[in-house]
Amino acid sequence: MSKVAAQGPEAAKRTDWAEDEDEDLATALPAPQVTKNKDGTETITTYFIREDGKKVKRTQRIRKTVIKEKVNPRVAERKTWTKFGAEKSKPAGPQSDTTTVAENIIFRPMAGWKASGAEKAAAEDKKTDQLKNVKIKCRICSGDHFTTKCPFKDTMAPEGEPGAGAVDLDVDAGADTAGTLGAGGSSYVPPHLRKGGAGTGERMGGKYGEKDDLATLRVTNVSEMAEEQDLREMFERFGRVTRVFLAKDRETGRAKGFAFVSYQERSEAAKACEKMDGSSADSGTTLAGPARHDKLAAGPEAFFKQTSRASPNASDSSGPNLPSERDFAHPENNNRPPAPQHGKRYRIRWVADFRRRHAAGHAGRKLAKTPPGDVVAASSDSSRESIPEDAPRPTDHVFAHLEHGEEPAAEGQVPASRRVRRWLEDHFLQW
Amino acid sequence: MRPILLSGHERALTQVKYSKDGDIIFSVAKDHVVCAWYSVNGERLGTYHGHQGALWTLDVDPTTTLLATGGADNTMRLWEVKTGRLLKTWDFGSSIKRVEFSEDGTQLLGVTEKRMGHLSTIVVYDIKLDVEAEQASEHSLRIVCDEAKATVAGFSYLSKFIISGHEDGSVTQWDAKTGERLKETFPHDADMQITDLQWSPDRTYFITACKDKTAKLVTAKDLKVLKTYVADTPLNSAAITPVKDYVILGGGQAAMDVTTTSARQGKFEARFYHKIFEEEIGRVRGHFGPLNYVAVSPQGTGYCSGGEDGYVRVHHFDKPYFDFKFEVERENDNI
Repeated sequence: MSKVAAQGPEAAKRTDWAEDEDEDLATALPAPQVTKNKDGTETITTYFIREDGKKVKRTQRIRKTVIKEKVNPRVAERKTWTKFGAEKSKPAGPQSDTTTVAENIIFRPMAGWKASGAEKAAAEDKKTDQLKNVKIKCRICSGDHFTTKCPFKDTMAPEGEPGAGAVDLDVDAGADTAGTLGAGGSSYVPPHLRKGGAGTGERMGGKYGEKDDLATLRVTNVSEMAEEQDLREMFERFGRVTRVFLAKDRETGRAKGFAFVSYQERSEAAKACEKMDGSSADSGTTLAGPARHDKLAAGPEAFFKQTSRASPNASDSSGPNLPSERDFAHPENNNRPPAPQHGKRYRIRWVADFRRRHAAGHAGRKLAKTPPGDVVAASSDSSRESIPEDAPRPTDHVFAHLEHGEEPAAEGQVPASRRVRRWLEDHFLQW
Repeated sequence: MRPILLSGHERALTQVKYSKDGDIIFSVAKDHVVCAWYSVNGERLGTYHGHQGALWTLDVDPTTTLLATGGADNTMRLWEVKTGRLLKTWDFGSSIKRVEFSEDGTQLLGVTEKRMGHLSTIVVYDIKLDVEAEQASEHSLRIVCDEAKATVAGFSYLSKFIISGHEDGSVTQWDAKTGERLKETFPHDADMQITDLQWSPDRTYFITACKDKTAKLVTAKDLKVLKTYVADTPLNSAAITPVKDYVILGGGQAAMDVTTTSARQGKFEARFYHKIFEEEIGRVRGHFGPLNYVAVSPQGTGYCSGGEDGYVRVHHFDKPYFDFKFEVERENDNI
């Protein structure tokens, strides 16, 4: 008993019905044509009228393969039965309205199949259990409630934060102010500096922002075409990413070149920082570096786009690490030819560090209004200490020179370098 | 393997069966139509029209000449497989939940529902394996199940016993000649309905599927539980595969809860267990509703499942299915 199985249609393509909009053809349907091709296939051309009344030409190319199969004579006989019921007078072969071939299923029996599935489920259970077991602890009074629900939240600051308690602060501030005023004579000490000099002013993002910052990385040198999703995928390799923020230009929608990536765990963030820092960025786009003075004109974000940290002497070969005073301090730099691009490499820093630097810079700037003195020196030193990665930079002497030697032009006027820096900070760094 | 999807029914499938030669698949659903399909390519051979209510069950005789169906219109009908002609209608006081031919096809049993003042019964008719013959209108045997209603039943080897599964999880053995109750066991949890009973190829043992999430392999002669297969979902059906020593279980969340569960949670998969080691070896996904019935081809080359989603999925096993062996089996082969 032999059986003919049609394998195909290999190429069932429908021609555009518009081509068949012919008056002559509209009335009579041509008979189906079967042409034999050289490679043993057959091309069947059929014409039919579709449900919507359009005439359609269908071209099918099929290959017929004869598969000889020995079957029970009873089965062979049943194969020849005529169809009945709803299938009466339907052509031979499976009908597309009742019979379809589903997606391929890979079924591979395995010993211990259950174990693998159960393991996965167990792991998931474990995770949820872990989440369940997380103890709620108030950051103010260490009670087992949320900090926001704490009965002392109006009167006490969270544990471990400097200047806890409004009453404390008032007392301290009063003492400090008195002391400074007594020692320094006429110089005014702003409130945020009255406590130990390295005090931090009010910041945007609330006083608990620091907590999140601990596991947040600041990524610069991000490609202009990057998407948050790309970054997330890239950084998820190191741990659970809770938040990705990619700064985008409001008008163009393009990335501004920097992003923040928050992790669940600080250790994960540390790992990511270590592994990804200096790694090659998405090679999708390489920005042709415009001349430096062009960048200045274009705005400070151009710095972010082109900065690179390939080598310690980065300032000589490629763009500067950060928008800093350097370029402004050396006006001849502005006329340097465009730096060669060595491919974009991510530069990753802790946001917490960055914030501290920002806070210090902020303090220093404010102090610029005061004549240089002990307080100024102390503050600039403290700012130096808080930026450990600045230490090995070869241009540090420029900094030192600026911070310590530059005389403010006039009372109330901020030096040009600091103006730009302030502009940068105000626009981009206050997160 | 590429399953063939049969979408000839408009409502949930209730039973699917292969013919003895494995070439034709019959399916019944809650719409009132019976369908016959060629198993090799999923082509529909025809439909059988006449029932007035949802269909619960069908069976085909070993020679693939006669087809018996039963449904919620309180009738049991006999059809000619080849033409779709209705040969005989038996009327009852309540719906028919299960029909089954004996091994030689000369007897047909029907299980009637307990409803409207009628007790659940098992009725047996003598069948003449001829489409032209006049079939008997009177039953040759009637067993009344007055304790717990029977949900499934079948003839054991040589038509010696009738084995019935009940809504309270019990299995009863009756003498097929006299209708005398011989044995009763409770292999499953109390008050958990037995949903399916399928035979091994030689009908010396059978597998029961139960709502208590287990399936059990039980001997026909002394109702001894040989094996237990534990699943994580209520079971609607269980089948024993010839050639390879597997069993296939089908089930899923109850139909009424389906809308509140996702396809993943619902566990709408056919589960394969090793028959001897009682260990799960794999699952086949595809249905997006509970599996109401799984049937294995008597040649062991494939299986099909009917789901609450209205589809029949026909699977032809491929090589890994036949190649799979446990370590101990392989070691045994090498000796």
